[in-house]
Amino acid sequence: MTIYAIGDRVRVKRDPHITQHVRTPWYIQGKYGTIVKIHGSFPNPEDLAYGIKTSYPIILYMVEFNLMDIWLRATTRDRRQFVCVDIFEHWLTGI
Amino acid sequence: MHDNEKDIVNDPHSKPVHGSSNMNPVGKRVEALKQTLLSKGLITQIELEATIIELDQRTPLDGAQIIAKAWDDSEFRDRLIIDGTKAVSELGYTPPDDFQTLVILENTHAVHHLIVCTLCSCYPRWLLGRPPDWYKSIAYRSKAVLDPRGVLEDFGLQLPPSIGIRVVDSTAEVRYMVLPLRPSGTENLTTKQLADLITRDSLIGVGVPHSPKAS
Repeated sequence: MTIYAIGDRVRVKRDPHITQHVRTPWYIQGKYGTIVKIHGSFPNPEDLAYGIKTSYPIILYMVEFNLMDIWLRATTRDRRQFVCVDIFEHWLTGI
Repeated sequence: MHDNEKDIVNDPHSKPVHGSSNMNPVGKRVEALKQTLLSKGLITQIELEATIIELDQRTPLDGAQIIAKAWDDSEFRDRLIIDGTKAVSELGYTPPDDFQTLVILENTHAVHHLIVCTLCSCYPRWLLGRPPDWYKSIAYRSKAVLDPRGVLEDFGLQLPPSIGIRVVDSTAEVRYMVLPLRPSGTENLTTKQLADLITRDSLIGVGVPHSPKAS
């Protein structure tokens, strides 16, 4: 069962105090995007990095962000620039 | 495993430094890790060498053949877009582990795709071989998600402003390869001739395929 469906707007959780291995790049933490693809379920790399292989699989989504919603720079005033990032379900919240 | 480790183990660019050792700090760390893995029996020298040989056997020609077939065979192209991993297995390409998944990004007249790994250097090595050095550079990984149109211009590619750019950051187990637009004037070419037009850069998205030479 997936919590989110294609087309859903989501927000990426933000954790400014990360010390462990995560796969959610800082530049999209706290940002708003749209689910564009559901890749399926995968073992959690945040556990695998420490040799923990017993964790249950987690749904991986492809989330699309407009660069204008991420950066404030002049280069991102072009509305036709997007970035898609693969994000695990536990890093997302609905909006 | 994220892709980085495999590269470091066999990094041909480790440069000697001044001092008592002829290895740089990363090289020393890699060597220590390798010796630990071998001494604990977690990997064997034979497995290590086999992995290096397997990596070296793959080149962008493999990816080019897949794309040429997709240009030539619309049913294969559809299968490739629906399930990339399954479609390339028809041609004998299998991912290095059970979880690695291939997704093909189709360029159109409305959108151009560009691949990056901002976390490290994830790359479809089993289809394209080792990534170029610039792909692993901080400069490329940073600018790709900040100013992708500028990155394309750095590579000499000027796209009309009407074409959108979609950068794909491979942060997990999915590997991406671009399906570039088929150049015009290639209707009568064989699959082999088509493959010759497809560059590594066009499969990453920082370039487009060559145009056929006027005959």
